[in-house]
Amino acid sequence: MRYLVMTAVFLASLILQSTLFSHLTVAGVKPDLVLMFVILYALLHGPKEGLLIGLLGGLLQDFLFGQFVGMNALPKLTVGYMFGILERKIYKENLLIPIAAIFLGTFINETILYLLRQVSYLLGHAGGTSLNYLESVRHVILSTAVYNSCLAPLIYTKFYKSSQKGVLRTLDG
Amino acid sequence: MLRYIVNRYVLGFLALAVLALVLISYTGRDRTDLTPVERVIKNAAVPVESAVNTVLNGISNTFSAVFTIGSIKEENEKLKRRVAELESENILLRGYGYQNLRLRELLQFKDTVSRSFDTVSASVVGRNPANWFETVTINRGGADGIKKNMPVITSQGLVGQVINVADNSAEVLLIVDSSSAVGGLVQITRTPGVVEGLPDKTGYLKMNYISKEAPVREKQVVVTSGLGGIFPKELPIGRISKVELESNGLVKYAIIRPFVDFNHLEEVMVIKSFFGDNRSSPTGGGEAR
Repeated sequence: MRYLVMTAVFLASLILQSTLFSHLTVAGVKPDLVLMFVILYALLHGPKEGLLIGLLGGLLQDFLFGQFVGMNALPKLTVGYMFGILERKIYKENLLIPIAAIFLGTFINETILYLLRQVSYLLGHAGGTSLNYLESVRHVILSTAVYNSCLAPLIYTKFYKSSQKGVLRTLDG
Repeated sequence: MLRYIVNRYVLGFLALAVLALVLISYTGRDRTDLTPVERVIKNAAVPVESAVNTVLNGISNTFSAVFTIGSIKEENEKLKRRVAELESENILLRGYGYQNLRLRELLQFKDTVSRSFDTVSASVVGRNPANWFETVTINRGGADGIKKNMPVITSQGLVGQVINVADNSAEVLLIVDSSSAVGGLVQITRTPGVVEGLPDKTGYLKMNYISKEAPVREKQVVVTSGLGGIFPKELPIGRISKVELESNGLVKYAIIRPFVDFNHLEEVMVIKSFFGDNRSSPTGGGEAR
């Protein structure tokens, strides 16, 4: 059930990101709603669930947009797994935790994406220029991380309640 | 801590990570077709995207109409003056056109840059949600005869090239993407270079590998060179806004402001075939790097 709900959530986020949020860019970047959901889900459900949901969200994004299948799945499942490990170690009621997690998670996600992009450039799968990491941090990574963490409080409360009592709760642990 | 390291999930994670890497390398730029899964998902999602986009564009148009009503009158005046100006210029140019034809006949000149494009118009229904990839989805696909690598333009200039095709949609790699590379030519001096996207989200382009002595200056127009066979020759790309020496001191580069407004792409045209193109369907390889 919760996988179905998350699939719907991911699809809705992807469509919003590709339409509405391309009008609402801040410093040239759009937020990554799918990643935010992956991180929050992982924080509340643990590493196994985080891994699977990261894979689901990333693959959907790959299937819908772009060229390389797995380019978004790999960073997202990694981030889902990493934040899943933190599940038992944090106070979930504190709103600062998800904000910090989303900031850090976005940074990790974008860094992995940067590395993948760089590798595919070096292997000749993609053309164009080689990117400099610090430049990328300055122009893309940092602004995405800030944008994402600003949106975090808007969805966390609802998400938390749903994970405890609503449609996203884990039935059998 | 050890408990987490020797966890069976770690194995699962590693397996999935390797799987993803294999998938990425398998789906590189050289593949010709989409996988069935991608096809099904894209076919299902494009109508929804298209609908959402229509509604959003409607809203944004209404808003901008309300906010700009004051300046419209002034703009109207300005436009009327401009139309009169252009009309007189047009008459002059038509004269030159006829003169050109006459001179051409005189010289038995073969028309090599005739713009006989076979185009399909398409609407942009979505942008890539990730910040790393400047691609858009258009609402025409294999069913309309669109194939991989076909050039995409607007009336302002070059937009990009098709990188993958589903039945009723296609993905277009914009020239502002940092993995895009187009053979360019400074229109007036015929200086060649490679036009690439900049990764800094400013929407500017960079023309690389211009020789140090080349007479390249600001405000000159850059067009496609037609080398590589993907893009036809003489499509406008943009105007040079800055020329600088590369840090190695050997070549120059130019920063180009593209003619196309990539933040407000709505209608585009896909060039299915163009004059001088011997192949009926462009295939991969040979693009300028």
